[in-house]
Amino acid sequence: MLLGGQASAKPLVLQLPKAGNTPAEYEDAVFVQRSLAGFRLALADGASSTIYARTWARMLVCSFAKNPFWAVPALRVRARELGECWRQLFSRVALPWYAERKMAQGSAATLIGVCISYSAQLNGAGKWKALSVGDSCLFVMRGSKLLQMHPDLQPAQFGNTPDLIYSHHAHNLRLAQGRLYAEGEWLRGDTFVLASDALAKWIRQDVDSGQDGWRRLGGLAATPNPRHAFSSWALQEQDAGRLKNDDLTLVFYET
Amino acid sequence: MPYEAHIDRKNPACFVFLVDQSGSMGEQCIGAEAGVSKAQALASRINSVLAEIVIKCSNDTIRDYFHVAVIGYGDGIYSRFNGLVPVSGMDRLARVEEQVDPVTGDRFKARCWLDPVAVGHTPMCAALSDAHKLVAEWARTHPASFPSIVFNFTDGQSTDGDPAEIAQQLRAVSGNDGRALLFNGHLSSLDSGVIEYPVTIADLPKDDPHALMLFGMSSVIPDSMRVLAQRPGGFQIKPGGRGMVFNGDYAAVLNLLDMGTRTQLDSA
Repeated sequence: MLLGGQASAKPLVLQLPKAGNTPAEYEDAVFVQRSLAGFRLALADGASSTIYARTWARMLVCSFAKNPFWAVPALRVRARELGECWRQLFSRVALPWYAERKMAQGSAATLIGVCISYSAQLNGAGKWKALSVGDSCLFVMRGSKLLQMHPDLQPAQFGNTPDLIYSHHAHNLRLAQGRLYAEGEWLRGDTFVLASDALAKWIRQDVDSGQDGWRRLGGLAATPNPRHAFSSWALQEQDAGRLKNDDLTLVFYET
Repeated sequence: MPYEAHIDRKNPACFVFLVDQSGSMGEQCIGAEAGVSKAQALASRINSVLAEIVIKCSNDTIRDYFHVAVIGYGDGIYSRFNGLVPVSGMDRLARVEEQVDPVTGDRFKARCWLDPVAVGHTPMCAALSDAHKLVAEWARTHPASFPSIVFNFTDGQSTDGDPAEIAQQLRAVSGNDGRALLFNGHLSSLDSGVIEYPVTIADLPKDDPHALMLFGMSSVIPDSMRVLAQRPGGFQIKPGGRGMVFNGDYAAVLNLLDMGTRTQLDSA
């Protein structure tokens, strides 16, 4: 809840690597930055088919949270700068032949970045704006009602080929502005949920079915052992065929 | 729905490549460069696909999304990896060969696992029998995995019996996500009209018992694979089309190989 014009609630984060992978192979990244004006939240999902995707995802969320960008031209400039840094990081690493081929292709990740700001004029409410590339998603909830999802994806639209931000500049030339940006207003009590694709698909299906199960995810983060609780929940849902085995990342912020 | 299991290290998938290495495979390959035999063209492409599998499964390390077997049949049965190996193990068994890119002229180091051999007869039944054993054991130990995909590339007919029954036994191997798939690519020495992904026997050359036999041996391509294969720039396969190429030239047989592997590599 926001009090006195300042954010006092803290976004909760849940993270779980794909079953069968080690924690070092977890390729999602999250960055939460707090300010007097509100919060900046960023979540990126590194493309596991690319090399050093974990590092690329971390670079993207950190860069967005510290200095957000909202349009394709600015995104391309930022990605180009970060891509050069990424290449420099690994330029001296001796790699096996298959990894050398992968380096030539570069790295890639989806990104959902959100700025939530308190507005003195709106008295206990505020505005938000979001940038998305790919199928990591933002859900803005009021009670049980989905106010907005960005990007607005149906469950069938979650696949293996989302849009991505690439470390190689040339690949970013195909990004289109039309799907990137969204904005809105929020009231006290609204909930912002950011999720990487597997979890986003689950949440969308849950919301569409009116089950309200997504609320439980916020509760998991508040348990004494949130990693264990989240892992148990995920295993149950995966065994039931309702959740894909993938890196799972959630940011849950109830205003 | 069958044939929709997700491929990952918890539930890896399995490819088996059966390669005819009989004497006739030394003949010129239709559609390939002059002087390139069927054995050379096929070995080259299979080596490329195996290298692509390694690259697809890797970033800075190799993730064993797939297990692979390569079995040659000609003057005996030759299992290149002594059964199925994980991709990481397969990489360690590669021979490095310096080659020249025919387009750019650049030299590069190619990974090679299969040598072009063309000696002896066509013991296809024995090869299918070995594949059946591998696939059956794989299904027993990996029941939740995507069903095994077996490719059989040949330029002629079996010389050790009728392969129909063993092919049927192989295709009957079943896991939770469906039955094993057998795709047959027939390389022709004659330019006599390629038959690709036939739906019914009406799509086959009339009165050709060889085509009919291969049709009966070939699995219907699952819808999940067919839809993936038909992405922009991909293949046109009618619903119910079988994984079969008959009287194939170089391009058609390699397309079958690409169709069956790329859909799985992109799903991992």
